[in-house]
Amino acid sequence: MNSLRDLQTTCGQAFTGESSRLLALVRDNGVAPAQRVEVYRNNHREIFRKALAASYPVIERLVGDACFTGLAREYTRANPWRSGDLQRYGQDFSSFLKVSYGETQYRYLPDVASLEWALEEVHLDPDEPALSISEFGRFDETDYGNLVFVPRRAMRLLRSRYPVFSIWRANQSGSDDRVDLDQGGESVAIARQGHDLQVHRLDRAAFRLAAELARGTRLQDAWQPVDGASERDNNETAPDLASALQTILSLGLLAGVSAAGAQSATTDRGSQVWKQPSSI
Amino acid sequence: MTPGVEHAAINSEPIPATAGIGLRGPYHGEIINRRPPIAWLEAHSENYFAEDGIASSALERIRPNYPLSLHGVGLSIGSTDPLDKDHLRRLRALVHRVEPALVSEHLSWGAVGGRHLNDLLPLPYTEEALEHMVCRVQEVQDTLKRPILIENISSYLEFVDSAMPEHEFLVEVSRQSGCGLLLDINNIHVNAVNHGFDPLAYLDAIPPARVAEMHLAGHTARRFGEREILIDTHNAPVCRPVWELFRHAVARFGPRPALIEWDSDYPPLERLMSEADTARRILDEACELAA
Repeated sequence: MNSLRDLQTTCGQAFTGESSRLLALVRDNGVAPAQRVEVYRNNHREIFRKALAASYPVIERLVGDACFTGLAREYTRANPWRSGDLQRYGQDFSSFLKVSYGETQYRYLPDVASLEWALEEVHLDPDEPALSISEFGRFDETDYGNLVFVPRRAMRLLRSRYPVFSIWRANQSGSDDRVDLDQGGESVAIARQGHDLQVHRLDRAAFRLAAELARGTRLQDAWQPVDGASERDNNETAPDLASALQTILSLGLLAGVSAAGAQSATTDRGSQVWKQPSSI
Repeated sequence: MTPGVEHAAINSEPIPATAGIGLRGPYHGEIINRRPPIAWLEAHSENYFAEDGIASSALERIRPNYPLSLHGVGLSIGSTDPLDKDHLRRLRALVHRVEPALVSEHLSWGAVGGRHLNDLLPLPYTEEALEHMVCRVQEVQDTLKRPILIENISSYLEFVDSAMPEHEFLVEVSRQSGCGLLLDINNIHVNAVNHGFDPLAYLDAIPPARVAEMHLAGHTARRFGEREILIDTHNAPVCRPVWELFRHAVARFGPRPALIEWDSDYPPLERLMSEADTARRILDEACELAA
């Protein structure tokens, strides 16, 4: 008789397709052991394909079902999962796609995957109220330049050389948008709004300002407007600090504010768990 | 339960002995906004581990309006790997947060050598596996400071090493660990077809006092030559043979909380509520007969 440990090891190898030693340990009962084991192999592939598809529906739609199934199989093989909780499964899928597609005509796929993973993360992130513009009333206008901000935890900023926001939006249910892949890069802000997630395209100036403020840079040092029109994204107008800050506040990207040198920001969060904005 | 360890009383609304439905993400909004008349809900524990995530926020709003059970799918209790302490810690935190009336897991394993297959895999029904499973259930109960329910799973193979039938193994786990039983009626039907045993004899071997809950779900058939294997897909209505088996179970065990599970190809909520109505009528008939 096999020990329980040995049997589970043999099962693990069999169900991931790495061994057929299990067959001799399985009863026939009218269906061949190989066919019974194949049910588990198929389940294994399907469990991880479904988990990946749940996080990356746009990638699945872009590459098609058959291709996505193949990618999921390769990804699962290369990234054995180490948790009984599948909620965070797929965190390296963008890097995986970069290896496969980084130098092809589909090189935008890893960035689209990064956007979809950011959505997954924000979905699970803790939340706090967004900073209200009324909070500025606590400060003298002469101190505005010294203001430092705390970003919302349930928020992400991404920037890509490709129009990732347009691609993502065009692949949402009911959309008939078409995307010109040559239209240039896009910046994206994702933030939680109650029980929903909001995904917005930011202009380059607002993105830069948001990224700097999220790093804790003082407002006066964070504003480095994009002067040259050649550095602006498609159809962007000249940058304006008030407008960029208004955009950031209205999207709920910030949680707290304080004057540099003050004891604490107007948030009860003690430690920062902000992730650096992704420039992808 | 482990001798010498006192388990606290459950401080929550009891699950009524009628039909409930599985709480899944696609139904959150409707259940929050419309508050449909559902007798009770059961949530998959792992979906709510992120304490302040959107799903947990939804559960927080739903919880006051419905009796709730938590059903785990990822603890891998029967695995010979050490119990995942972090997983168990997060389950304990969730139980503390939502105070479910029942907490359940599976008679299965899903990880070996640190690799999780995230599937409900069958154990060999041996003395070694029984001793192991009993210890593990006790460890979980000691950590949660409450008894849990263990559910029989669907399986597609049996091991030549097995020395006792599944129902005997299940009852012994319950008897030796002190856990209750969550009998999945669909899984008994699926296994009866897949392994060729009498499902009525299975039910008749289960002591009624051990049964605290039942599950009902749909499955899919996959043909292999002259034979077919039933796969526990939870994406279809409960089939007639499972309803018949459920009638037998209710007649034997009496009314128990019974859950309609649906986990993919989600239908409108009304479809699930209609399935729950069918289960409720069967439970009510049993009550009337007993009166």
